[in-house]
Amino acid sequence: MWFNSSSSPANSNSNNSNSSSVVSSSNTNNNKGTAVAPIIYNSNNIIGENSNGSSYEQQQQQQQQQQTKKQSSFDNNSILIPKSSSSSILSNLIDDLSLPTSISYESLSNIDSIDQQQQAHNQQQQQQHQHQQQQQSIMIGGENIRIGGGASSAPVSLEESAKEKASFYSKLKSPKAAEIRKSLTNFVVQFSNGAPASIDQQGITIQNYTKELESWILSNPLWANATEPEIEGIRDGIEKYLMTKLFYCTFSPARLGGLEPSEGNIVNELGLVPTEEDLKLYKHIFILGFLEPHHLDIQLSANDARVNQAITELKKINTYKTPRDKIVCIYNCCKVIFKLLKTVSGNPAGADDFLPIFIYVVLRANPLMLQSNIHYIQTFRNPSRLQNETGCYFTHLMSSVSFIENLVNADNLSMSDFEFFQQREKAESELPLRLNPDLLKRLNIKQHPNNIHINNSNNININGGGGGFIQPIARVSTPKSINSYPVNNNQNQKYIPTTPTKGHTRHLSFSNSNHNNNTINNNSITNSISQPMFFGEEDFDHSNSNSPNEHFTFDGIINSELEKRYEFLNYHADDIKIGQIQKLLEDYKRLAIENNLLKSRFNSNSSYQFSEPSSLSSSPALSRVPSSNLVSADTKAFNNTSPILSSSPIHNITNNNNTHNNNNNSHHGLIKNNSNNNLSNLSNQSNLNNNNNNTPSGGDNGLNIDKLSTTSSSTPPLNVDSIINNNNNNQSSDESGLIIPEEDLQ
Amino acid sequence: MSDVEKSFKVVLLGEGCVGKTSIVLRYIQNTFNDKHLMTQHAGFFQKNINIAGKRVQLTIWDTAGQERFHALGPIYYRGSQGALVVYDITDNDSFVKAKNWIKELKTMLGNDISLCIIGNKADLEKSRVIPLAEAESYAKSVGAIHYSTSAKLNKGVEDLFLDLTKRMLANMNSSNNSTISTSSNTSQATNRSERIPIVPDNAEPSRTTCCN
Repeated sequence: MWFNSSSSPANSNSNNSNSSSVVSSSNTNNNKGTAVAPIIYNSNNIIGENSNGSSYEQQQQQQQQQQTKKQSSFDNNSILIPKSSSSSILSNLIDDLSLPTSISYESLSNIDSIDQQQQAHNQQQQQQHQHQQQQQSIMIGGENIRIGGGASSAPVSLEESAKEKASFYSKLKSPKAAEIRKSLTNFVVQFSNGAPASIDQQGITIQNYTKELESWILSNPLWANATEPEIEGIRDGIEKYLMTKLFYCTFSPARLGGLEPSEGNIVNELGLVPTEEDLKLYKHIFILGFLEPHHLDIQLSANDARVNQAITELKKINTYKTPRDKIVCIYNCCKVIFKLLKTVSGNPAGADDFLPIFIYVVLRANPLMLQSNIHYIQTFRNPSRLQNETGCYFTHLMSSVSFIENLVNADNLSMSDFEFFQQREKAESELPLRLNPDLLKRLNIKQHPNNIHINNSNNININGGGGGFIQPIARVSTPKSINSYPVNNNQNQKYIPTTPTKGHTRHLSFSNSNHNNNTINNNSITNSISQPMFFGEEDFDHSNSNSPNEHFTFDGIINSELEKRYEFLNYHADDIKIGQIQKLLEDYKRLAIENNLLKSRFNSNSSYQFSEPSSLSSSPALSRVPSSNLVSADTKAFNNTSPILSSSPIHNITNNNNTHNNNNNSHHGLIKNNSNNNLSNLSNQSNLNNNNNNTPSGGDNGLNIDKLSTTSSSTPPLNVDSIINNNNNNQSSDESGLIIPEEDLQ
Repeated sequence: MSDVEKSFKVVLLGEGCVGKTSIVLRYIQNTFNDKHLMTQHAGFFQKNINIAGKRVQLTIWDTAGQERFHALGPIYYRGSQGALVVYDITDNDSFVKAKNWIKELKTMLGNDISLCIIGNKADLEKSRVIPLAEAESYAKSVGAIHYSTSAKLNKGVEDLFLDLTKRMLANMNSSNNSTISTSSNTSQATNRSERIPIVPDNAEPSRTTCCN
């Protein structure tokens, strides 16, 4: 009876006569810490199954009543059943294979967590909504979808092991298995209290325990003569039990996010904090968003419904806790692609056809925390299962990611290098504009330290000026600066062995050390607010005027398009919500960039003169500069220690007066990248401006740039490079940790 | 029913369009009728065979043959016991690529892997550009075995998989003769020289459908 297919598609096989039906039984009441398994597509039907979390006991009763019905409904409202009643019904489960896979699991977990139910209930209610939405997306039109071969005959298919897992959990209820239950709960407690710090070590611990427990279980008379599928079910069962409970301390983003232990297999993605690696990949893929199917030689329309569906499936990977369920998401994604391939070619296609589409789907889906997920699955998924079919799809995912990571030029694409770089440049410059505020906010945790290399005020950041805000300007104006790519964008750091800037690593440790989500967010906000990027800008700005609007006014050009672009244009102070601050800040920065750009263009065509230094003293960025780094009025000191000067376009200024100083090649590569084109058009401005202007920092510190900065104003584009060579090397010795050695840049 | 005693991972390499996928499809489709088709998704094939009383599960991993995906190879062939490196006898480039794969496999996996070099499209003998002798001597020089197949005419396909399975078993037995715990007939496997009957593994599928 287990292939009572409507309610348990995991078990339905290809003999199912309902070959064209698409069923989604939305069982959404998860009042107990529930394990909700992702839906496995059947070979004939695509059936949405919400392995239901409704009160297990009630469900059980219902099932008994409704066993003849094709589609039992699980819409019970939550009923908390006292602990004592739960085990009495358990034995009924043993033979009832029609149960959705996770129900018995759920009951297992509830045995030791009755008191957590209420709490879990609240969480689940939130998740229900989310899950319901997912359910809808799983519905596929009534066509007969034959994706996948006869899963029924695979020796140990995923579907089968789900069934076996259910049976494992039901057997686990037996009094004879009390010791095993105890062992499991003890292990969870022990692991929670004294988990190894490194995830790899955790993986070994858990895998070893699983192995031991497995052989112990197999020696239990209940599991005598267990078949291979049953053994797989046991493994999956152990894995699911452990990983659901231990997810919070084993999944890196959950650790970073300071997730509390929770029941249920669904996790709220918002509580997770992506790791450095995740964000790096996310941003990389985001920038590669310009890639079209034909770049990978795929004959496919970009908006193919099935591509979109595959994307949806893959994105769910962050929803589930257990490695198995994460793999199922990958599996489902692949299956949609198989179906797509089948309609295209008619034959079962090979990897030649499959992989490019899969890569394209990964590119489009760009699930956050992809790297963490991969690492998590690799570490905690039962290794024998990684050699199986689902393991194969997981391998496809790994290879796709590897392929994508290496997309740093057009070598492996059907497009020219020039076009690639041009497109990427454009995408990078638009990055702050295109990311949705929510993601941007999360990305900003890392994005700023990476992207804007002027990190914290006490860091001298040589590449700072170019890394963050100057660069976009240059991009806007000179999209041809191909030379500047390899170093400036942070994902390339992976391929070009640059040492990360101090800010980069600093941030890593910062986020690792904060296990409280709020702390991180708060910090990230302060971080960005106080980010010296401000003074990067303003330095650059040479804020000639008290009010930028004198030169650049929006009057008369406000229209709906502008409003769309600058959504805060008509806001009052009261309208702004806390969550929007990040966006507002971004908008502000963008405006500052544009403002600068316009001015620099303007300046290069006219001998624009600054009237007074900027009010940098009021900048939070500056106020955070430790006094030791502030510049004295001495030229030497200026050269040696000023983070402001070294980290900003004031390079030009600095360099101008340092031309006489020692060569410092250590800046060469980096600055070159930033500056070849980025600064070239700007240096017009700088050099012109330098002639009679105190830089902001100069103004603050009594430093008079006037007398320093006249040397090379006449040949701006050229001087950048040469000047950089002349950067003083005291900086590098003082702050060597921050400086990317030249050899790393080449 | 007995369990699968040994599972082998076989990776399928070769340039695009040499017909590597066709070979596997041919093998699977001809050996089993549709009902007993093993998992046959793009890029992954799996089937159980009985060989000398041993139940062996073959999982065949297809890889993308395009040059741009070449670097991804190690991700796939990691941990595999057998490799089918396919080339097209009418295409010299594909043979060169095959040699590259072999070299890579030898470097990465040493002798732990049973290598097969397969000259496919034997039906196009007229347009052959790779002399059989050359291919065979190359195979011999790298410790691989050369096979000629035609997926189109179903020539040599079954023998290829049978032979590969036997070699993998032998390889396994010789490399860790003492550590095989699951198999009770280890000794049998080593002295098998006569033709071993291969029977489609019907037991497994029938179990899962018995609930009908």
